[in-house]
Amino acid sequence: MKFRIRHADRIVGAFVLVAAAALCGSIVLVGANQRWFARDYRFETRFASAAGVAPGTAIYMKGFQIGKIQRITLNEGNEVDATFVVYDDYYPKARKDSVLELVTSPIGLGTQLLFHPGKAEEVLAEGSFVPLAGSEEGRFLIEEGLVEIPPKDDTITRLLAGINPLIEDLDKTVVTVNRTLTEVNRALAGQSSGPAGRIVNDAAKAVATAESYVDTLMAQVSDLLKSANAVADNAAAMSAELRDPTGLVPRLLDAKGSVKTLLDDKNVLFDRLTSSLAETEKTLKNVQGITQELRAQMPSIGVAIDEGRTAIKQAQDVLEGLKNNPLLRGGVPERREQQPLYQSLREGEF
Amino acid sequence: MSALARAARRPGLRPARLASGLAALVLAAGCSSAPKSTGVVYAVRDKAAELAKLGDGFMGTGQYESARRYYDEALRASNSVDDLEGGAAALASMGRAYLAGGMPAEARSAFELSLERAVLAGAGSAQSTALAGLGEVLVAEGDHAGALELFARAVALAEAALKGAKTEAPSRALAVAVHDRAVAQAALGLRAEALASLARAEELNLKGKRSSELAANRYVRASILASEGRLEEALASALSALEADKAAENGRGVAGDLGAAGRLCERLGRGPEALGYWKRSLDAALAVDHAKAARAALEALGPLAASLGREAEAARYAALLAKLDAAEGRPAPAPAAAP
Repeated sequence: MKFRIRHADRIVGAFVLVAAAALCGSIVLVGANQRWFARDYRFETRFASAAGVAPGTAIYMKGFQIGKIQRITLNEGNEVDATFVVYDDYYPKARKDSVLELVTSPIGLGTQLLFHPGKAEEVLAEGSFVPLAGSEEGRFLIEEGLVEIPPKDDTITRLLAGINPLIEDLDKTVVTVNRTLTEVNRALAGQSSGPAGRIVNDAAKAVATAESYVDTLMAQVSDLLKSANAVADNAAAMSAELRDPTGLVPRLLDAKGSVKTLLDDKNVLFDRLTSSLAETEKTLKNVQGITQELRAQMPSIGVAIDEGRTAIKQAQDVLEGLKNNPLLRGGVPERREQQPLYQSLREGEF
Repeated sequence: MSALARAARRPGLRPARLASGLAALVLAAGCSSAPKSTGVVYAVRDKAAELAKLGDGFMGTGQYESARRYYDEALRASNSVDDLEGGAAALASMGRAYLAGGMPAEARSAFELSLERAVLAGAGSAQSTALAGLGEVLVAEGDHAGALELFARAVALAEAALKGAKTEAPSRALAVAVHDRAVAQAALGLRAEALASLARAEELNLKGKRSSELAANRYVRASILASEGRLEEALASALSALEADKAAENGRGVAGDLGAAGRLCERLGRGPEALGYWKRSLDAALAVDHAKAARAALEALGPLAASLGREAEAARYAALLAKLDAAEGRPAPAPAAAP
């Protein structure tokens, strides 16, 4: 029996037209998805390193991708200049005083680039420089409260974001303490030109002057020899103590002695020491807090790792099923068969 | 009457509708055939299977010590969940690793333990594999009659397991047992029976698309034919073994097959052809660190090259052989006496 289709030409023509229309529609849809027809607004920023910041890296604001890194170059100062774009849908949210934050996971969970908009009403001009949150400018903007930093999604992310600034703070504090101690040591050794150094030098000059006064008195006032001798003895004793650093140091640190003189520099040195100690104490408290938080979150991290492993296993099953047949005809086997090594003897003479 | 009913009445459209319906049914059947989970966990058994597979890989490259370690890990995993069949498989593989490494006493012990577990598990194909392994130990010790008895029992067990089998294991066990039986038969001078056994093993391996095992069948057949003086047929069989080993990318097998072809060509008086096969055999043996095959090739290549008037080549092969002797701690051969 012969089969035939009526109006075959028309049907074929209709199919061709529908296919062509579908192709055009697909191209338009793909273009729209790829943002071929949308406008992007370019901005500049600068990173210390390009690690974790490749071209195409997504920029998120409150969980939404609002743009991406477009280009990175190593500048003459060995810093990384980056150009990034903000999609037109989100451009009105990019306000003046905005900052970028690069959150890097110390346990190898990757990096994330976050955009924190400024609180100003003025929209960020295209081509402006947006500082990093960790840079001096970025920290200034954050400390001044000009940036809208949203609360982090979860404790771990918050902790990860806080670790780097904390480490920098700690580092700066340690450097400050080191400098202060060096200054004190140099002052005690008479090598400093600062306030502490001047105090020591003045004391030395005073001793020398006292000695000369004593000599003059001894020569000119013979009738006051007895008292002059006493003064001379005192001066000699003082001179010996001043020449001996082990004698001088306790005097300088003695609350009833030269520490008063030490504080005569309008408390500059004392204030620095106090602020350094306060910062160290604050940092230690923060570290303690982080440790406690991490300890509290350990079960959650364990669960997350376990869930990840389960997800990988499920993905493997799905892929195996797909590999068997596009229609999953073979299904996903529940287990692998353990087989012994089947190997026949290869015995023979030729 | 609806438009659909009117369309169904058109004779020209019915086949197309039928085809579409069938396609939809096939699609639906295919998509819904994924088995539902039984709730049983297979993580440890899967791990054991993976470890055993890794061990097989080391066996293929002649790293028997490493292979044994993996089989041992697989055994521990199987033991941890009392998987008797898995443990039997791991022990059988371990036995083969011992045997290949020249440790027949340890191999026997492993195969005996494997058999014990296979019996406890009531797994016919696993029992067959263990018995075949024990037979191979006897072959290595020269007891071909004892080996033949064990191989016969292995064949019977595998045949029984093959009936209604849902997995490939009984077929594989049977092919190995039948092949090994052929080796024992050939050693006892039962060549016709041996060739028949090999034909059966070849049929099973062809059906299971097991190229490496197929190559072993053809290699042994070539040896039997050569012992009967049927050199052309033997050469053809050796070359077909080579093709199968190439298909399986079994480097050690390739070196052996080329060596067999070289030896047969020598016996057929085709010197240059033999030289070519031996050279290829040496290359393959060196590439896969197969010392035994490399030695065989060098021992053949020196005199063969000399007989073809290629003195320089002969000297080079003799030097290589001397290096191999030195590496293996063998005494240097005495220099040939002057005529």
